[in-house]
Order: sequence, then C-alpha cells, then structure tokens
Amino acid sequence: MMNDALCNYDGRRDEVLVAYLYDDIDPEERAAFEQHLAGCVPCRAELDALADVREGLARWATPEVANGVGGRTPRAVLRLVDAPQASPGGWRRFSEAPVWLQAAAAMLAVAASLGIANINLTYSNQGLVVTTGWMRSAPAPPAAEQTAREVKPSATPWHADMTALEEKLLQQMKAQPAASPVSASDDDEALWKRVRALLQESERRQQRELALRVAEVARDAQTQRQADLLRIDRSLGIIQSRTGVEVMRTQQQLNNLAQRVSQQR
Amino acid sequence: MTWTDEELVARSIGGDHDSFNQLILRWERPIYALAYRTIGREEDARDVCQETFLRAFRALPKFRREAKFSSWIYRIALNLCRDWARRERRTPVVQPAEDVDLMEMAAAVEPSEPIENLVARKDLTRKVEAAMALLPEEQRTAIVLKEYHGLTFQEIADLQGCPLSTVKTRLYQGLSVLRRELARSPGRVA
Repeated sequence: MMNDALCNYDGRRDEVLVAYLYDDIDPEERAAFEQHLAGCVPCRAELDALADVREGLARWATPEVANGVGGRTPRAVLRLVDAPQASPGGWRRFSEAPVWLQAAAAMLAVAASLGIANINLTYSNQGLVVTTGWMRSAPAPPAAEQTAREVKPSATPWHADMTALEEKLLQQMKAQPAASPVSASDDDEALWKRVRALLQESERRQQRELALRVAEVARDAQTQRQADLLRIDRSLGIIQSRTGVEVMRTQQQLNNLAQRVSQQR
Repeated sequence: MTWTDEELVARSIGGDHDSFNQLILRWERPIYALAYRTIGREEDARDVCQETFLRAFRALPKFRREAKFSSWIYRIALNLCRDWARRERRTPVVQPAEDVDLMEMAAAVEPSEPIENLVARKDLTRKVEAAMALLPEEQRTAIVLKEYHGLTFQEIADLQGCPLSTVKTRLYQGLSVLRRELARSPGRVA
C-alpha cells in the first residue's frame, strides 16, 4: 500500500501529471500513471486542484473586439501594392514591376537619351571627349525606341544586349497583371481617409479606456464611501447603545439612592 | 471552397492579396487574445495584433511552406509581445481639455457594452489576471498557448525554443503558483 503522505512515482512525476491533466500523453504513460493514481492520494488531490485552476483560467475572457482588430492587407494603407481592378494604366503597371525591371528600364531610358543626343564618348591622347549630335551633322532621330534600335552595333558593342533587354522588358510589361485605374490623387485621398479613420478609431478606443478607468475609480470611491458610512453607522449605533446603557445605569443608581433616602426618613 | 492557411499564403505570395485579408480575418482574434493575455493591456494588444500582421505580410516571401502558418504567426506575435515587455511601452492616454467633465464623458461614451458590464467582467477576470501577472514570462506564455490556443507541448517547445520536458515543467510550476494565488485571493475562483 502506498504512503498517503508521499508520492513515490518513478520518473518525471510533475511532467507526467501535467501531460495527464491536459490529455496530451502517450498511451503507455497514461496507463502507467492511471495505475499510480489509483493508489496515490496526493497525486489525485493535486490533479483535482490543478483542474480547478484550469476552470478558473477558463473564465479569463478577452475583451470583445470587432472584425478588423488585425487591420487589413497592409498595402491598402501603405500602398505596397495596388488593388487589382479593371483596365490597366501604363504607369501603374510599370510601378508594380520588380526593381530589377525598373532599373533595366531606367538604363534603357538613359541609353535612349544618349541615342537621341547622339552622344559619342571617345578617349584619346586629348583625353575624354564628349560630342553630341548638335556638334555633328548627323540627322535628328525619330523616336527614342527606334533610335535605340538604329544605333550602329559597331559603335555600341553593348547594343545587342540592350536591345535584347528592351524586348524582354516590353514582354514583361505586357505580361504584368491588370492594375487599378485609380489615379494617384484618388489613391492619396483614399489613403488619407483611411489614416484619418484609423486615428479616429484610436482616439475612440483611448477615450473608452479612459472612461472605463474613470468608472472604475468612481465605483471604488462609491464602494469605499458606503463602507465608511456603514462603519460610522455601526460606531454610532454602538455609542448609542452604550450611552443608553449608561443612562439606564445612572437612572437605576438614582432610583436606588432615592429609595434609600426615603427609607431613612 | 475553404482554403487552408498554407494555400492562402501561396496565393498571397502569387499576388492575390485578398487571400491575405482572409488570413487576417481567420487569425486576428486568436492573435489578439494571445497578445492580450500575454501583455495584459487592451490597447497595446491591439497594436501588437496589427503589427503582427504587418510583419507577416512583409515577411511572406520568406515563409517556409513546410512550416505551419499558425506557428509562424504565433512566433511573430510572441516576439512582439516580448519586445513590448522589454520596452514596457505605455499607450499615452488622451488628455481631456480642462473644461471637460470626466464623469460626463464617462457617461456619454458609447462603448460596445455597458460600462457596468465591463467593470463587472473585469472584476471576475482581475483575480486571474493578477495571478497570471505574477508568473515569469515563460510560464505565463506556456500556459496561455496551452490553455487558450490548444497548442501541443511540442509546438510550444518549438515556439519557445526549449525542450519538451521544460515546457511541461513550466506548465506545472505556473499552474502550481496560480493554485496558491487563487486560493489566497478573496472570492476564490479555483
């Protein structure tokens, strides 16, 4: 028979007890512990006590919150990505493109600009010489794209790579998903509205919190006041009863005295 | 069709950002509850909740698909709770104007539930909150995750970065302290 005062469970008794409490235990360990529990009063008592604690914990409710406590997809506020809508806008599609794509497009634009200006860089005994189309009799180029294509490959060894990059870029831009038709100003307005709404909601929550604290303080003050009044009432009652007793005693003494006086007469 | 968390994550990464909204709807209350029970302050718990999803959104491309989304989002939330505890940040209370009567304001505010109910509910939970506040952070977190979020011991161990036996020991010790404190407090709840 097991000693009721001590538990002689072999092994990690506390861990096994918790695992059994939460029903998160291996079947073999459960069987062994249940066999132990059948003859161990301290373990049974502790198990019951911890189960009561769990019941108390279950009463710890969190404040009710409405949908939206987690916010919404951050990009709606932070403008990380545009909301998907109908027909695409060229600039919006471009702004959605990956960074490497945007960098390649920027390089292409620079190359196109150089092509337009027909800038020629040479390094010779005279040093670095930069000449533009204005300084030579070269014909004015029609458009940036076409100009980029028409630059002689022999003069610009990187032209083939740039052309390939340009074509890849155009293909990527065509493949970009549809973006929002909302203009930049409309998006700003929506963003400001959202920010204002968030600020107002935050202020409302803080006011509620303050009101709750004030109500708690008022309630505590009221409770304290009532307790004080009760104590005063009791004290007055005690004083009253004591005074009454004293008065009665005094009256009795006076009566006794009066009787003696009349007897002596 | 109900998408799993991992499917919604994949769709979000693929560009369907409404899928991330669905993840938020699905997990915002559990994350808020976790933050509230860990931090103990309503306003800060809301902030932690929102920050959790903000960070999750930014880190979506790094999410390892073999992991569970719930464990991942819990880890983010717990890290933010830990950061909050270290900073002991306090939400600034709105200062009313000098001519504002606080009692009038308290009466005029329209909360989601009556102030009296809020206070009464707080009375009931105050004892448990006070007892939980006495626990070390690791024990309190382990109890919150096990008691209110139904995580397994192994999942808690993974989140807290400790052995399985340590989690069970933390739970046992935490519950033992709560048993003592709740038995001691007036109007015992356990």
